[in-house]
Amino acid sequence: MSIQFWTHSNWESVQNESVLSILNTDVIYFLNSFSKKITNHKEIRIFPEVASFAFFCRRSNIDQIFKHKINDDKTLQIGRGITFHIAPSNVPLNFAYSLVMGLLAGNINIVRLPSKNFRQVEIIIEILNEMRRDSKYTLVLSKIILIKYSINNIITDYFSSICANRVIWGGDKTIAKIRESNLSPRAFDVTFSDRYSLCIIDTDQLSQTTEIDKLALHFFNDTYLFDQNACTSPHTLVWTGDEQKLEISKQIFWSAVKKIIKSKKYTIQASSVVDKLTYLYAQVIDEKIDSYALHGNEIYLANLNKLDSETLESHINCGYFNEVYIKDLISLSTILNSPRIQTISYFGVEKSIFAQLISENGIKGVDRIVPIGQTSEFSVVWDGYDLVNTLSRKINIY
Amino acid sequence: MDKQLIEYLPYELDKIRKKEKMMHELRVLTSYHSSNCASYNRILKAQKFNVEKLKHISEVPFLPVRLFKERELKSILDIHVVKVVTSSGTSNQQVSRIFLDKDTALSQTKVLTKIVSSYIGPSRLPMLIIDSPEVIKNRNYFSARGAGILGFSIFASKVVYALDSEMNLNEQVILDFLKENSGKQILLFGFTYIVFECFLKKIQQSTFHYDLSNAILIHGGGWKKLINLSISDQEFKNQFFKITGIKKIYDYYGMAEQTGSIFMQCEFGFLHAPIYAEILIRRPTDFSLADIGEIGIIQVLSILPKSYPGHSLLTEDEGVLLGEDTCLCGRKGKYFKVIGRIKSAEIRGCSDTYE
Repeated sequence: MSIQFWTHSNWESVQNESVLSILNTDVIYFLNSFSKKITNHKEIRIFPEVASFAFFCRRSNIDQIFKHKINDDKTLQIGRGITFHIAPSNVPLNFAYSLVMGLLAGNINIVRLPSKNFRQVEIIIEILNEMRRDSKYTLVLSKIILIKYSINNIITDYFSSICANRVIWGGDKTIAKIRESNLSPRAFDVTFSDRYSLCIIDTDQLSQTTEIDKLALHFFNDTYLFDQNACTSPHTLVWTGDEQKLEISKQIFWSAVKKIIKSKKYTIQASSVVDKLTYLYAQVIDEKIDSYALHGNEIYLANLNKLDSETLESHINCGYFNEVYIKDLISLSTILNSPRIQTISYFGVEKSIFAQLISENGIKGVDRIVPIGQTSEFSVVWDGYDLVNTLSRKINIY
Repeated sequence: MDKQLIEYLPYELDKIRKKEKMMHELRVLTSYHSSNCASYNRILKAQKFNVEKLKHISEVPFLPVRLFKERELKSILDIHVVKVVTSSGTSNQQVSRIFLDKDTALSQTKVLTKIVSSYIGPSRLPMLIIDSPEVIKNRNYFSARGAGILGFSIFASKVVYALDSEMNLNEQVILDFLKENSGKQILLFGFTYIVFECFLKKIQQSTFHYDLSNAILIHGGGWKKLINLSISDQEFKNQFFKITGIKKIYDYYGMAEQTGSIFMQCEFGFLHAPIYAEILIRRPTDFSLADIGEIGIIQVLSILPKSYPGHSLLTEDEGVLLGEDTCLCGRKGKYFKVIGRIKSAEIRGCSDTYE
């Protein structure tokens, strides 16, 4: 294990660290300064996701997000203790968002960093070390411990035994592995399991839009930017609206996406191409599809005979999309009933249809519904958890 | 059509004559599998492929070789299956299953004989197999390794296994074999990785001297693992020569999915396509054909697979085409090098935390 950042002398002092009230003013002040320092970092231009993180931490953004939290003098909301965060190994900044949630919830945070060496992570650590020189930040910095370690049950056991809650990113296998380490009786897990997402586009709107390039760029950011491997990335495209406009809409949409792929210089690796081709032919053999369209090896479009759960939960990535036309979105209700469905991104669909679809049918799946382009934007409500509320506790005073 | 390709010598046709004959056989095979394998037929239909319009070898549809691991593909009835060859490749879980009927198995043997005889001569040789006899114990269910050993055993006047069931060197057996055949030409056969790890490295440490100056070593199928140990083909040969005096070492490139029509290495270290097989190098960006000297994904074609639709396969290996009909060794046909396995992608995303 290597400790990347901490201000303590031993683990006992970490356990003796006090908690803070939620949305603590020192935390918000700290995050705002943190944001400024990140924004001023000389490498910020190279890493747009670091810039987005800095943007997220600004006071005005935090105020905006939590403005609905009305102070109620009968309720005190405060941290629970130590939050043990297990961040995904292959997404650079997920750990940082998770940490911010823990801080806003008033907790002490032990964060297992990604195992890969990302420059983005180093930048964050550099800035934290710099802030250490200023006593204004001492209080908040004492709530932050960043560590790196490879698979090690003893370390995981220890942190699990001392934490009040554990936030596990990284999918089913990670969750199963981490759960081999017991929590104390009062502690609990917040888990982010394997999820699947889809995208819905209305042909009437698509065929009329004047902003197709912008839409294509947004779609690119949702999918190709992370090789279609984020759980929020759609693997299935549901086309709805006028069936007469289906072919022209597909043509407009995919040629715009192809253009973006080219201008962004997205390159596909040979092994991904082989994976995609194997998957495509297996789908043909299994009679899931009778036809398909390829736009180079970057875009594989499988023309689904019908949408089923198995297809919706496919893992295939790097530019593989199942397409299906559905006239009436209400007929999606059966398929969306799986708790493994996470994000619906949409274009040109009336928002009210979703509320109707989900509440009237009592659907178990779907935790987020966002316009195309916003799937990977971090939100304090994630997978249905309001993170600050979940990680903290409420005390009623009568 | 006059003489069939299988009747010709492995490297005797130049590109124009080869192309004409091969194209004919590939067209017949594509059409045959399309009529006899429902899954293959679906794949051709989905890409709106028309056999009638097939003109160039590069237009023959190719199946990714891993598809044979994920789905059962055959063009014969179950009652005609005489052998099932399995291959795990390097991806860990599933194995490919290749279904052979009598005809396909026979033509595999015939073609392998023609290719290998052109290297070792027409007569059978005393043969030392660098493996354990355990590998071929279950004859109903062949591993690719077992199938390779049995396939090459046809060149043997006598077979001796160099390793015991625990893959340890059987020194007494080997020394007796060498003594008995001293002065005679002998054949050594094994899988590259096993030859290197369990034979070469061990005789290097041995107190005995192994004189293999009259031997021919044919090895294949194991470079993928050797590349991880980063030993080059040339180093492998140099080390072998230094320890045993062996001069004739030939690597071959082949796969269980196209047994028989293997690509043998020549004296200059290049792999050669025999007239029964062809190699194409494709760009990963759009599957267009790579230029000579340009690295790409290897596609292999063979006129042998009749019982299963494996006559045109996209491998998971990278290679580079070096030329056609112009190798200094005098063999006609394309010659190339295998670079190694395509690297598994570094995928960005949020799954797979715990490593």
